[in-house]
Amino acid sequence: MSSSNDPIRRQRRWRATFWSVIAIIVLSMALPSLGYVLAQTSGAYGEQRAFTEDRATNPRSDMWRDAREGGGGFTTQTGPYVTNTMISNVGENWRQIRMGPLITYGGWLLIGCVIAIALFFALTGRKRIEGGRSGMTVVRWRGYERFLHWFTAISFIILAITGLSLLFGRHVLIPIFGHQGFAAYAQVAMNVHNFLGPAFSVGVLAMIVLWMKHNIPNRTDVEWFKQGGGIVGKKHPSAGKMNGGEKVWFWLGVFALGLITIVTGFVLDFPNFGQTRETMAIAQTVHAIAALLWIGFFFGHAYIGTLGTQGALEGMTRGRVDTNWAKQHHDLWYEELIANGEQPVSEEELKRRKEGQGAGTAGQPSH
Amino acid sequence: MARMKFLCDAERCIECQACVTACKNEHEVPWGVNRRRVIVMNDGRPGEKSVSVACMHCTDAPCAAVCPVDCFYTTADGIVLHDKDLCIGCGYCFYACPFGAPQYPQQTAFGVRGKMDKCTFCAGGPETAHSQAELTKYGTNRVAEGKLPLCAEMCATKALLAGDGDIVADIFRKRVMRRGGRPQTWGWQAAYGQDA
Amino acid sequence: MPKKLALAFLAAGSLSLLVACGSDVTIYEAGVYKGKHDETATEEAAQRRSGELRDRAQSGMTDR
Repeated sequence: MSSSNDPIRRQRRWRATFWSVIAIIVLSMALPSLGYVLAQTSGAYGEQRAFTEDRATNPRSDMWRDAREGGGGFTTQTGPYVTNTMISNVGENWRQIRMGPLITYGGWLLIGCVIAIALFFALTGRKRIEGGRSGMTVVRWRGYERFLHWFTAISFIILAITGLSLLFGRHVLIPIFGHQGFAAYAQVAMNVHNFLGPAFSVGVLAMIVLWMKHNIPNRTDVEWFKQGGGIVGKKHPSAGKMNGGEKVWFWLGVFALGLITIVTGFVLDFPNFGQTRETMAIAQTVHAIAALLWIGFFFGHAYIGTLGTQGALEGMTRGRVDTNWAKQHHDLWYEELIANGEQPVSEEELKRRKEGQGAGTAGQPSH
Repeated sequence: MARMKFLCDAERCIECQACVTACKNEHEVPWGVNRRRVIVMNDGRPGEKSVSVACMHCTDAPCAAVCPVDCFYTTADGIVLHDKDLCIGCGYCFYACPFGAPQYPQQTAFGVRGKMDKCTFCAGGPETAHSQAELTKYGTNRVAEGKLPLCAEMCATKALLAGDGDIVADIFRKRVMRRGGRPQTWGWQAAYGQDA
Repeated sequence: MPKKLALAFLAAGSLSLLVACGSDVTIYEAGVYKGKHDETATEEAAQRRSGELRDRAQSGMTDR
């Protein structure tokens, strides 16, 4: 009696019972599972299993599953648009994306960009040259650079208008022009878009090659972004030839979105290479998304270059900028320019030079 | 109201290509354009089946939804037609169509395709019925004469059925009941909705 | 003054843009075509030929 009541013995008995129960439960689950290990490791069952269980499917239902999942067959008909798939499922997805989110959010994105810029302009107004014009100008963009810029800019605008017409025309332009009128315009728009696109691509690629050296990010840009680019307020952070914002436009806009649009555009524009409609549907979606983002970005670029900043546009039109504008917006570039021996020139001097040149060509002996 | 549908009975189709030939001949379809084609799955292997595929005249047609110039329309009895005067040949309907029905006379650089051409259920187009303009643009108009598409009417094994969806489904159901097996109304779900 | 002018333009512009978002702009309706009229696509034409086509299907398509 006393032994059974011994706390040490009672504890030991309890512990033995507990572990026995645990062992029974664990082993009863683990031991049968060893069968899997055996079947996996020993080759004895392998052949037999393959013989009895594999390929137990019905070839007829296999075939219909294949057809439903967009599998290909054999067809004797020939032609550029003959496909051997019974049902292509990509088309319906493309339709849902294009007619749903792409058109809805794309439209709102562009409207939102325009409203945001107009609101910004209404609130802050034009950024004027501090202390007015000095009347002295320095060279900012050379002739070939300006040609490249305006060639690409004009083709960009034409491509944007024609491209947006194809995307939104049915909702916006058909109610205005009617079916006949819009179809006639759309025919021209599509051809212009398809033929101008490759020329535009050359312009964008040339821009990337020629202007990459101006757009290498550096420490100045970090400081520039920290100060918000001087967009709000009077303070103006330092910048080289291109400021942080222009570099973002270059890398995100021209480089990234530009290359995406160009590559997908070529996929769509040259069906003669025989890419499938699935590839083209995906390319069309990517092309449209990238182009919409780029157009929204372009609104900002165009605003800052024209209305938003006094004295900025003439850098791209005449090629020369006012020295006060240069000191305000691109101080480091201006200092470097002066250090390299560039002389700011007044309007009168420029006029005189032009006349002198004209006289020179007229055959006057010089010196 | 009748609702026109195509149905190809794969158990009966013998891949004779007569529907393709009939269509080409009836509508004088140019080279390279195929309004109807026969696809053979598992060619030469067990489970080989062939299906004759053309425009299925979908209820909610993807081609009509994506067309930038809105050139498609559906007749009151469910035939999807298009207006070649409006078509700009952008190729969008070809991307969207699950059956690969839209065809174009050209495939050249700079996306030049020409006007889209597809099966009209032998119902012509928006030109005056039986006019020369309709014949050259869309082919003959058999439906206006009270006839059904030629491909189905001359199918030797009656694998290809065309006409009012109810009648077509009825004929097919009787067949399946007689011969057993599962009904396979290929393409109907994609074309006429989940409950078809 | 230019600020007021710009605000006025913005108001007019956004109003005209919002017009395009009205409910009378039909995005897409299945089977609704607003282009060229086709006489054979109308309800009456389909009604007229339905009987004939039905007979044709019953006589030509059924298994005999």
